[in-house]
Amino acid sequence: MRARLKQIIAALEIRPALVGTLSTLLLLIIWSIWASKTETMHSSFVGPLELLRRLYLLATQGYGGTSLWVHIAASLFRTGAGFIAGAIVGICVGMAMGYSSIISSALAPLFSFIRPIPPIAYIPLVILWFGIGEFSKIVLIFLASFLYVALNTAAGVRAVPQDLIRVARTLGTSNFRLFYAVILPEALPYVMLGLKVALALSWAVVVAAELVAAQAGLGYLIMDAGTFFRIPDLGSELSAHRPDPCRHNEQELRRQPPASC
Amino acid sequence: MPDFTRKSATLETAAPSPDDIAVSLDRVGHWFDGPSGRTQALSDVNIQIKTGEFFTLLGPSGCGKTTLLNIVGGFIEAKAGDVAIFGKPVSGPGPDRGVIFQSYALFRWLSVLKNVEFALHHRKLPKAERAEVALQYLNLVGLQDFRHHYPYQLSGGMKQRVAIARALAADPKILLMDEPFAALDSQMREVLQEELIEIWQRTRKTVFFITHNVDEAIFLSTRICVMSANPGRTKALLSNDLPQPRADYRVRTTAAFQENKEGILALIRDELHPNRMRGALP
Ligand SMILES: Nc1ncnc2c1ncn2[C@@H]1O[C@H](COP(=O)(O)OP(=O)(O)OP(=O)(O)O)[C@@H](O)[C@H]1O
Ligand SMILES: [Mg+2]
Repeated sequence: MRARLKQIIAALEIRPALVGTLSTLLLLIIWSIWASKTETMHSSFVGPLELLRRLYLLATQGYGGTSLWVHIAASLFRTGAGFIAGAIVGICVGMAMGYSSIISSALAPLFSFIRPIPPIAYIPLVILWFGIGEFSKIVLIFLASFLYVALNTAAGVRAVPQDLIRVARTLGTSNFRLFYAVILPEALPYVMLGLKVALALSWAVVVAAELVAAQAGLGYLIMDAGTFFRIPDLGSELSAHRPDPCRHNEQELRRQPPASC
Repeated sequence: MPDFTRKSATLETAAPSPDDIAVSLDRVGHWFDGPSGRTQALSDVNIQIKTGEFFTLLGPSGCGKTTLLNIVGGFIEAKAGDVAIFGKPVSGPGPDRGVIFQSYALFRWLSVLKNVEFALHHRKLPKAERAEVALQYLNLVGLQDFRHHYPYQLSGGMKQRVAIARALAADPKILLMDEPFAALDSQMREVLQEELIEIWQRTRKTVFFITHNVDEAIFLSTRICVMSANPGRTKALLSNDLPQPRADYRVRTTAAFQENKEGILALIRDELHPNRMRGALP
């Protein structure tokens, strides 16, 4: 019996994909059973199959008269624009900081001051300065991603071995070439780490920004659905409860009393 | 078998003529100011390295060998004295002086071939020719079959061979080598010493070599400068008369070799334990 168990464990240890699939299936089954038990009381807690059906409806029929892809594209565009700008400026500033201790010392107080501020805290200020349009969200993503990329790049450049730069110099390398052909590739692991963290943060921040002020985007969709109790019934229509009269297209959707009411 | 019985390790007397002097160090001094005060790293160093010479700096740890190499390489500026390369004062590093460090300093994101090609960039060779020329330099160190490998796939000895090929590819007049074989095991070290001396004989570069290994200094050099520490200064300049060609391991066991070694060891012995006292144990 014991030997049999050991055999099974050994077999599972070398099959991570199988174990992952089994655990996910188990989770889905528990979820389904739980949801079917509570369905009568809490319609906001639905099972996986129902959720998939709703997701399909959302994808095919859109939300609030707008296609889901428009919302996704809006969020992706903001994140992309802000992140790319933040990455480019961050890499340049980080390279300068890593290379020159004077630039690094000059920027250190400012950076240590703004580093502990969560990017979401800038939302009111950014809205005040740049309005609730597209630009303010891009600025916000820029602020969120810039700092991580710059600080990581600076650390990466500082970690480039002195010998490597010296060798490159004796090989007749120009200053410009030294930067892009030696220092940047050597610091790349650090830079990539900064970009990874910055991208994850950007995505979190864009959703947060859209929660506050937006007419499209995934954050807006979540906020709108939450406000109007559409959590379990994203495909259904709630025009009767909406304070916003300029919503359109909703008559075309299926008329059906929301399950939550 | 060549005759290795000639007298060697004689004290230097004749001064070379100034035309063929590759490196000239005149009353060079250097110090570092730190929080705990000033460290006098070098003091009154006078060395003239002739063109085509294999010159070795031999000294204990901390005597300022690396500092001196950094000054010749143009990486740091001497705080006192004059430093000239072929008669011209040094102002920063340049492709006339190639360096090889103990740490190999290879570009780890480039293949072996691309590492060597990097050095060809400043020689304005057409792109098509570059790979071919780089391959010739890899051939010189016997690594042509590893051209598509990356540095992490190589052993320490192979990495240092790539570094040597890369330094030579830039076609420098002087090679500066800072304990290049110190990180290798003793057998690999001897093999690379033999390869280096062969390369030196073929290319006739001027070599400025640093080591704290007496055998290495004797096997390789035409001239040896023994340094003393605190502050770093030249203690003795010896010319090494071991006959050429030396790219043969048997040189290491000859009487002349041992005689040279004895002479140098006698010079540096008192360096190693200058203030040694034999007191009673508590
Ligand atoms: N950047 C630096 N700042 C302060 N002191 C330094 C610096 N570089 C070297 N020194 C000091 O200068 C002296 C000579 O150092 P150096 O590195 O030239 O010795 P070395 O002969 O190369 O020693 P080793 O054989 O261990 O490499 C040492 O006392 C060292 O502490
Ligand atoms: Mg040293």
